[in-house]
Amino acid sequence: MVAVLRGAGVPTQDDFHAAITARSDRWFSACLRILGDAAAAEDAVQEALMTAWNKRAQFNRESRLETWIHRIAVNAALQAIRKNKPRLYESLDVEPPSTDAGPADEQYRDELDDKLTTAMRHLSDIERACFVLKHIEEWRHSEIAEELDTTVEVSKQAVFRAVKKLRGEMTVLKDAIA
Amino acid sequence: MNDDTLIRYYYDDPELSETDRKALEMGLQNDVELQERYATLKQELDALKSAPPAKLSSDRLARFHATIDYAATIERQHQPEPERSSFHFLSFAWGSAVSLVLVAGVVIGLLIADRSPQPAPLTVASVADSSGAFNRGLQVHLARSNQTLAGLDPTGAVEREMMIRHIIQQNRFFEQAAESNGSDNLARVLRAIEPVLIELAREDLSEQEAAALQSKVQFELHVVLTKLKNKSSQQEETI
Repeated sequence: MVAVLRGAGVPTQDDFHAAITARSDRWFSACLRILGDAAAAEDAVQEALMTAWNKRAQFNRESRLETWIHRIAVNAALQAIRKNKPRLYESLDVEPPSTDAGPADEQYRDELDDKLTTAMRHLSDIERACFVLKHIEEWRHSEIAEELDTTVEVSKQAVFRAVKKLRGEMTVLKDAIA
Repeated sequence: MNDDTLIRYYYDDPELSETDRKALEMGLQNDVELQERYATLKQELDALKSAPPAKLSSDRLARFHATIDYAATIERQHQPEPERSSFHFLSFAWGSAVSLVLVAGVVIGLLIADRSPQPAPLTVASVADSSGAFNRGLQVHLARSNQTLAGLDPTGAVEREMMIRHIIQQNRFFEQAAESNGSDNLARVLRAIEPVLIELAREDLSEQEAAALQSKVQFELHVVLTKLKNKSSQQEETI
């Protein structure tokens, strides 16, 4: 189902509700895969919705509302990563943090059990972000580097490492392929 | 042929040299082992690309919808509103003043704890003290909010809206104070309650919808309050 904007003018509250119904699972997934944390992903989507609402007059009607919000949500997730910048750049050479979920996350365990998300728990922050942006969102390395304020080479290396680690998760991947 | 080259080839990396690209393509035509390696890589990566989105709980979806209603409500608040009755205004102003004093006290307490003239590092005790004051203030807010909600008339939409806006404003004070205190998780929990409160403040809710949302908010407030009380009794860590 795709939200269709009715008539001319800025998107309405109903247009936003239709877009949320149609695509918010994808926005949430993208943010969850980038951030690796359900609560942080929810924050990013909510922030994106607020931003999109406040800037809805700037929305270009040649694109879809849900696509526009998707990009804003991804940017919100990247903004959240940038706030943790020191951890991000340390993380190329360190093991990812423990994947034990806190009590607040337990109720969302089923969401985190998504196969790809599960496999991604083994990635560091920058590996996860670069892999999702390159592989899922299909960004160019130059775009990733610019958004993450790093270099193209760092982005490439992060993707290589992510691919190798994910391939190491053979059981998960075989399940995904099946 | 190493894996990095195969991965570069998969992503059609422009930095893959022409020599490597030709050697790889030649290998893919003639070398069975290389064919299998690349086929496996491609199959795995393609599968990851087509993985379905994570499941979205109904609560989370509702909060996304509520976020837009909240944004629209905030926008409407910037437009001139009809004058409210003096009772509501005084109640709102009184509650806001109490909250301001309460939060200001907590913030000042934190600052004093933070800027102690003692050269020694901040002690566990001083952090626990300032955190304790904050927790007590928040517990009062949560308990009063719960009482207010419990006493709301589900048929009185206008009064309900006014009282909930009052609770929301207080909630924001504590959310900001929690953020200032570095209690990100608590700030997030308080922020998560707000969209449900906004939803409950809608004037067009049916009596049944209002009652259901009211129960939900009361439950969430109760959960946070219980956790806070447990933390206070344990006195082990800041929230």
